Amino acid sequence: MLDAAMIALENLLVPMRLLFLFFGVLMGLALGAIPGLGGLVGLAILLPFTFDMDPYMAFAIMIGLISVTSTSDTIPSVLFGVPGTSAAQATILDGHPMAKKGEAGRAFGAAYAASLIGGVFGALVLAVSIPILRPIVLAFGSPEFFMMGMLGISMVAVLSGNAPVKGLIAGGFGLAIGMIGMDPQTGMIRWAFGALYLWDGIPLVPVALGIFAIPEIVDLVIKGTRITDVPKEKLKGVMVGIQDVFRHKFLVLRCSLVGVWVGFTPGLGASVVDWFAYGHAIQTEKGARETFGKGDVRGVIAPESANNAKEGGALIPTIAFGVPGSASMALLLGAMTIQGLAPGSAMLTKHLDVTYTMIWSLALANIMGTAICLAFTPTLAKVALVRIHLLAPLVIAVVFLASFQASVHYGDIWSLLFFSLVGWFMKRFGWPRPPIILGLVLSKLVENYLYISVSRYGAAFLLRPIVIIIALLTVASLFYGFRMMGRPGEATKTSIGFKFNFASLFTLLFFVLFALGVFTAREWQIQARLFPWVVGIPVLALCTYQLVKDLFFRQEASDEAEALGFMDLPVDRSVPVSLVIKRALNIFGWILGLFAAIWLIGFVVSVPLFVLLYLTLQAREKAWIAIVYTIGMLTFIIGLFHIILSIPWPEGNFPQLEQLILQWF
Amino acid sequence: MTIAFGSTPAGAAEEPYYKGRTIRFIVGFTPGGGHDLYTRLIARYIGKHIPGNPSALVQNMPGGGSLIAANHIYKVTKPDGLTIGKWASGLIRQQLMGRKDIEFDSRKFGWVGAPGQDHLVCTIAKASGFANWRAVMASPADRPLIIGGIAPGTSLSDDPRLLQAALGFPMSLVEGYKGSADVRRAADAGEVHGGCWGWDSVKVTWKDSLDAKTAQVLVQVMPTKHKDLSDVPTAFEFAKTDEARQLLEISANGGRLLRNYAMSPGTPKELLQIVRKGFSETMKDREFMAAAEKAGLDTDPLNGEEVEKLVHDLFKTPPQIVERLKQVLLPK
Repeated sequence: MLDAAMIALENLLVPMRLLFLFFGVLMGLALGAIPGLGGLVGLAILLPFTFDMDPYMAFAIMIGLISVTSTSDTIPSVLFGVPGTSAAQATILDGHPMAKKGEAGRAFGAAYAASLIGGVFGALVLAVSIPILRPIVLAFGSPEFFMMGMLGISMVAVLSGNAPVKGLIAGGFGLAIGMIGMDPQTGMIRWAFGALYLWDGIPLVPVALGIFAIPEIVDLVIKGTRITDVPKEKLKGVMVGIQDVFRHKFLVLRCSLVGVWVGFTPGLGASVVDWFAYGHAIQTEKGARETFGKGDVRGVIAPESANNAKEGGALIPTIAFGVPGSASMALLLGAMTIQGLAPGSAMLTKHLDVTYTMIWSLALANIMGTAICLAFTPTLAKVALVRIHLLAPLVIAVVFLASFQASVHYGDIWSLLFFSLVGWFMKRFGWPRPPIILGLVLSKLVENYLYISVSRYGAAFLLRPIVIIIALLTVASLFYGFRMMGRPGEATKTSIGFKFNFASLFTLLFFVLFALGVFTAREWQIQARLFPWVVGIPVLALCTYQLVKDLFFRQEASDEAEALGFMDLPVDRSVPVSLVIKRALNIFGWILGLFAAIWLIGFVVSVPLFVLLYLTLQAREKAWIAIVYTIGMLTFIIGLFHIILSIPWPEGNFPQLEQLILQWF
Repeated sequence: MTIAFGSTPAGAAEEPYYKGRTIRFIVGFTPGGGHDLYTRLIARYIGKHIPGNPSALVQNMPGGGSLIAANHIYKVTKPDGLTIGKWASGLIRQQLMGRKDIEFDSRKFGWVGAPGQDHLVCTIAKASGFANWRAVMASPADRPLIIGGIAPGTSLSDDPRLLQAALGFPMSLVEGYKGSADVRRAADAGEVHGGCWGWDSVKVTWKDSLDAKTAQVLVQVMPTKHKDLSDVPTAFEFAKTDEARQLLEISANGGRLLRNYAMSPGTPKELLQIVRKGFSETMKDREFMAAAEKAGLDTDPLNGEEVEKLVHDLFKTPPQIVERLKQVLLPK
């Protein structure tokens, strides 16, 4: 085995192959740093080119690419609170506040060092587990996957922090969104209201960008300054962050293990690995309740070590059984097939050298990726000093373009808009948002695997040893979560009496949504209705409770008490409410305008036009800045989305202008 | 010179229509699946075989079980011979059954061809205890064959249902799996007995268990046996009635059509002919064949006319069989 590993290393250490690995890494870093794009689009583009390569080269470039998207995805997460890929959502909770405190460099240093260790750890686990890969994969069946999903859902409790009822409602909301689309047991289409777009369910990207990215940009614009007010000289640097990682080495190792495990479980992977690790960190780190969500470096280290480690885990079922846990792994499997390499035991015997090439590629790519990112960090950290009015149009435009990549359908833009509003109001009114993501991702997984487990084994599936172990972990996680929930912020004062305000209106919205959901499900067949009702009815009760509390018993607490144990980004209250409303209407007006323009005249014209108008009318930047910026944006759209990614643009209602521009290029 | 959309390419001396143009393949699924892979392979070689050597690229338009892409090709795409679509062939069958959100008439597409035909088989793990298909047919109702499926409307679920309706053996269909790989894992782990999908994929991905004789192909749902599977019975041998044979034929038909490609209706005949010819020649391209063979893909192509005939044949299904189809396949 060691021989094969050495031969594989020799095979890889050929200049041409290293160059391909490096090229893959560069592509991966670029894709990871652009929100909404990730390894998948890169792999899809690369695949045809690998047909002519030898397997070592093909896997060097492909693995190079997927290994590092979760290294660079930290960049927008920390700087703008916009997750670079779905694996870096949790990073924003502490990474972005760090940037606001002038610690962007430190956050990057910690994230990259954690990514490196996590990535190499994942490769190592994969390498040493080769002799037992197949038994491991077979030991995990539908009952175990169901229990893993439940463990994930139990994180809702801990991520609800000091707002347990709101957190549970948010989690239920996520679960309900996850149920939209076809129910595999009956073929019934749930809550799609005739929209074909909703058949396969709402994709994660527009939801994640909607609830996290847009609200953050909106709030930055409302504040109107820069990301950080800390002067340049006082910015904390990369080295501090790297040292942080070594100080918290056991956290890094634990979260890397979490990453490998979540990566290994099909259906979990990138979309929730960061939340698993973040939740785990809150449960196990001292004082996490007080400092997480406010710029604690441990909140960056945890998700970042896990999200790089996941690839090592995800490769296990892919190589050993040809069972891809994610779309990226499916593409990798495609490349294996094209290379004539059948996944399975041959990869662990006859083609062991290829398998080891993959593992070495994974490890080397992580090292390369971290080195490159570190080199750019001092420059990137200064982005936090740029005027927000210059950054906002760029970020908003990229978020729109990125959301649209989910299914290349207007529905993606509708989803983005809806969840932007929901996300912003949740943030303002103190609702934790992470439970939505957990619910959305885990909903169908839990429902399907529960159904399969029960129909196959009956209740006996609960007696399988691994199921029992994961169930115990789930119970422990829930216990911890509820214990934490039980401690309300100190110094709260309750005022009694009827008062109607925006916050209660927002709660009412949830109430209405759930009431409609439960009501419309009444005619469905029992299998299709069971899960929606099991979730929907208790959540409806919680909504009622929250509504009564909002209307009659308001708790008033100081800002500090309110922020204590709140597991989401804090709200900046320095701007007076009247001004917040005015500025929010303004910026949401711009966002709606962009939305309408895309519908009318298509993406290619609207996005640069939006940038131009925003810079001149809103930001009142100099004409030359606006023009250069706009041309840059147009080049970016055409170059990346039109030429490289060859997106099939939907036609606006007046397509001529768009065609003119595209033809000109 | 350029030619306006819808007009015919002029004399042979002129520059070919496709010169400097790009052919787009629209795949109604996310990247990474079998359809996506096949399409990317074809896109790589097809340009060589079309006069003017157009470039070709692949775009993914997932959603609605690929119905979004199918409707898109039918309604939105210009009939300019530059867009070729790939979506689930099961949708043709669903049009036959009168599904309401289908906005196309399958008979009107410009069918380009299919690179291979899916040879539908049911494969099970040995641990299931069924030695052969006869044992399944003779099994008591309380010992059914447990088949893993995805959801109604997908071939992994619908084909076993049709097989069961035709032959009447005890079967329990467990749905909710993500795809054939997931079902295969479940079968190897003893969660289900097996599943039904194409031999192409089975022989590559399930090779380990087939070699170790821990899995076996139980039955093939095609009127003729595959050359690799001479000792495996076909379901047709067990069909007792005309209705049973017709139901099986519909299943087999779906397999033959599984990999087909189409252009929007109204594509000028000349352009369709050029693309059909280019497609057929690609299938004979030595490099393409070598690549497909290495990947274990069967190249048993159908040309555009053959696909068109199969589609039209499907719509000649007698009304009582269509009723039976609805009864078996539509969600209750």
